[in-house]
Amino acid sequence: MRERTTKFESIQTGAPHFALLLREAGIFDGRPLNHTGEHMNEHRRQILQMLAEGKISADEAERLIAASETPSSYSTSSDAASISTGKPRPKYLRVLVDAEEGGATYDGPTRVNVRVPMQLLRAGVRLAGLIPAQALNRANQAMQEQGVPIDLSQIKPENLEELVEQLSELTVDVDQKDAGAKVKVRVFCE
Amino acid sequence: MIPFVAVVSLRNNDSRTFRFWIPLFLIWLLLLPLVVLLSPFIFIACLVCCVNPFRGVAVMWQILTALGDTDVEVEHRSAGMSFHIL
Repeated sequence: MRERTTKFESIQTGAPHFALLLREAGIFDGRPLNHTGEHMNEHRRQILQMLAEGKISADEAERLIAASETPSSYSTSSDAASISTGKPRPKYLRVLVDAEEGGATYDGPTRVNVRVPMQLLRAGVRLAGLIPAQALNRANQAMQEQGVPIDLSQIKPENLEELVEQLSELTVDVDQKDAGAKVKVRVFCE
Repeated sequence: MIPFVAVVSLRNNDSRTFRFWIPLFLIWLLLLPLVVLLSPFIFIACLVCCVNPFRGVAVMWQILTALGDTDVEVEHRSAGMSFHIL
């Protein structure tokens, strides 16, 4: 009961959580929520049944019914984890560098602006998949010696989409202020 | 679609900007017979390195097609450079 209550507390965080919860309860079968007719009544009936069985409280039932009546703004698929939040896929990886070097020879700031298409990153990962195993081992070894614990052999085409998806959430901000220099680096996807 | 034009823009100390339009399609046309001539050697090199040559060609083509819309800009008070692939 406690576990279920904890899960219901996550309803307020967003619709995908709610979909997962409904799926777990056997109410939501992966199809888009139908807000009219039999489907709607069926959802409501099952929520009320859970309430009657004491699985959820009245407050939770009310929130579930309210949420099921709200039009869904996300697509549904067979895999609940892949529910889209409606955010457009990023097309470019941007790197912005703003550097100011102090000292007697100071001649103004230097700005670097790089925009790389995500398609190029995808192709690059596929290219890494073509590197022979011996070369990968040597590269891994060299990186380990430099203190970079990355295993290049783990980069495989089947993991490509996942890697690029993770990159879309990437934002790196570096703000370094030394005695004479000030460097600001920003890496993000747009 | 592979990129056809690249634009290189250079700004010097006098704030004069020079812009060069590089017709990449001419480079591709010039490289094409060379690639055809070298293809047997590329094929053998791929086999020696245990790389599927067809997959290698496919990846190289993907890289070429993905090059479009790439921008690199470096700006300084005294000079600047930008490189755009269209």
